[in-house]
Amino acid sequence: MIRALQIFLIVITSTFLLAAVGLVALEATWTTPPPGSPQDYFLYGSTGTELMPLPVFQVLPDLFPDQFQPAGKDAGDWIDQFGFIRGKADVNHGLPVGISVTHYRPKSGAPSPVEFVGFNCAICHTAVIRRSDKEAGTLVLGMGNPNIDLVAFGDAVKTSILDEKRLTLETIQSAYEAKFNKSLGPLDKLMITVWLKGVRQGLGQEMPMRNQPFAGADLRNSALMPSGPGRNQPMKETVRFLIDETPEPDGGSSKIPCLYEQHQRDWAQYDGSLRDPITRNSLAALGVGASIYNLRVPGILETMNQSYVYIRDLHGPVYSETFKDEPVDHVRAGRGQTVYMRYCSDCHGWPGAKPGEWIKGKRQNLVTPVDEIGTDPARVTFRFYPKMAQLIYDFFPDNHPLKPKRSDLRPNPGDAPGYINQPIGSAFSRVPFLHNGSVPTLAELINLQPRRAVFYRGSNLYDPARAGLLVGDQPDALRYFRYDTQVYGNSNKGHDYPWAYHGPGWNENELKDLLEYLKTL
Amino acid sequence: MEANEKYEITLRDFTLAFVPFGVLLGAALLAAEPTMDLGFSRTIYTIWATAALVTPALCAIILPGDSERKRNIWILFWTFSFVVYLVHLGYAVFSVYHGSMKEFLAGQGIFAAINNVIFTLWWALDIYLAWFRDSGARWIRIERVVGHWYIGVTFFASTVILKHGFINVIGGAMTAALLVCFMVRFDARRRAPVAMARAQSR
Repeated sequence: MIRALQIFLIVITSTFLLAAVGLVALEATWTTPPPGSPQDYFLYGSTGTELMPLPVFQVLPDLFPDQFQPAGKDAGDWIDQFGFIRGKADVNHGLPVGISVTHYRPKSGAPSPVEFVGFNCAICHTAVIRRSDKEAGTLVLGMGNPNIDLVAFGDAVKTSILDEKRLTLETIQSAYEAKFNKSLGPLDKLMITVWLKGVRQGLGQEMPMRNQPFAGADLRNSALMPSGPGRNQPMKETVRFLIDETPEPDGGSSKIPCLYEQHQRDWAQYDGSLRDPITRNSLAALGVGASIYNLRVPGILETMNQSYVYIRDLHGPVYSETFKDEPVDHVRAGRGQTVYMRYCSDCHGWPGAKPGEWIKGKRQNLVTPVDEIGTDPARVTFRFYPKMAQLIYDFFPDNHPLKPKRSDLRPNPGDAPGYINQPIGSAFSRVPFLHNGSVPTLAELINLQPRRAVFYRGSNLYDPARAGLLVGDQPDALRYFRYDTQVYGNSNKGHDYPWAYHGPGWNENELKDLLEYLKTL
Repeated sequence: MEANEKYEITLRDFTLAFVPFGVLLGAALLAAEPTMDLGFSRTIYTIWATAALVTPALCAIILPGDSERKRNIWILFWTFSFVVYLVHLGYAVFSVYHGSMKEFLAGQGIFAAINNVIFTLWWALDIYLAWFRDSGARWIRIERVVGHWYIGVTFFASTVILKHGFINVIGGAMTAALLVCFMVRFDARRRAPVAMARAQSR
């Protein structure tokens, strides 16, 4: 009898142990099929920014309309109000473009039995060019989304998560059932419970560094949320994840740039601080929530690599194809080419005879010192800037697959801070202009028209005549962010080429020609 | 003595060691599931399980006597705890330190890293000797005593002094158990001359 009991115990224990080991082996199958092409990686791959379980993401805006519809219900849903690009209903759970759905757990990248959502490159670098609120517009992959207000969205998410009364497993479950007419599975419930506890703990630990997130109407208050639509605070976030400090001053806000034709760049980052585009992309992912640990996970690493493959040769949109009913004046453009070649081509290069070819200018891809270019200096002069190269180098462990070479990082002693002279193919779509997005149109950038001191940003439409964003001097429900060029980091001064507005040599007719030519790039 | 003649392990002894081994290792693997970092959690939970499983082995070597059962309990717990330790080591090296010696050294500190390497090699060597070599050899007896002191003190330091949290509960229980075993051993040694004298007087 005792012998039988002993055998029984051994069998039971063996079964339990085998089941546990079997589960560990099974984890390898909790994967999302890899995207099929570089474009699919760009649109759907994971960059390691897993944020929350899919069911939570699907109901969070319903549970917190005060956070996700800060302009009220009449101003559209959260996708409209935070400037995301609406996805197709039958693709990727109907989520906006750039939201990945994967089986990676947040931060570690460990396999998860339930799906998590995260943001990838396409969330910020995909845009729609529209001339009216009613038109569907043209979807442009790789274009910096001038409307997305990701920093404010992040605060809305954090505020909701920290609300322990309104965000519980029960409220999530009941909202999910109401929305999808089905219950959450036991694994969903388990992971949501675990995630909720962990994420609240994490946010609590970061509170001294990040402060309480803003909420509700404050999300649209430019005095409190200084980055606004189409921009983020890359230096602030980078210093935070590098050394757990919030820099003060913080380097200001930078616009979300277009990613076309990356092969034309010698240095990937627009201030000439990073040469390797994949290092730059990984720093962007780290700023949005990836970790140094999960960026090693093969599937995530592959997204970083394949996304670069996609943007390396990606062509920007063509003006004449985007606005078929707004023909370019080719006579004027022809004259404008002469102006361009005289005043712009040395720094920005020019299109070659073959399709997609770009001839490198003498100063193209060099850093023009900020004292010379005269644009806003905050980005390259804030207090941590001289240390950034070493901090980034030290941040990546030596065997990390994304560790950059030290020689691919700047500034180094003796380097004058400034901005790279970039090639400007598809110039009309690189809105708004200058690194901080302080100039809404090409007409203002070339000083054909005066640059506005204050304007309102949000879901701005496109103005083909001026080749830029249609911005007003009064807010409305969708254009809510007061862009004040007097604010730290927001200056619209500098880059007075070919001439300063009404300055010596200023020639309105030639500038009109130049604007027309720029539309053809 | 041939290696295969050294231990006559009974079903009862095997059950006594295998059941806690299987339960603790299985639980350590499963308990990580409801966490966000499987590798890190398993590294933690498996060292808890190792500390729990090594305690009976350390007790067995401390307690007086040389019964077959005591030797069986010792070798089984000593071996099973090492197996769990290897799982811990695997997760630590490949999940926490990503197979990088540099990260391992940076994460542990030079002294702790060297200590851990010696600790692992010594434990592995002792298990090899215990199963495959004649334990009666003088150098093996010395190696075993010194090795158990070294491994026991390392467990004490890491579970009671260096680390904090639930591991201290396991470390405290282990320490208490070992102290009791030492007391039993000293008590037995103290009684031994008296018992011998009584036997002689008869």
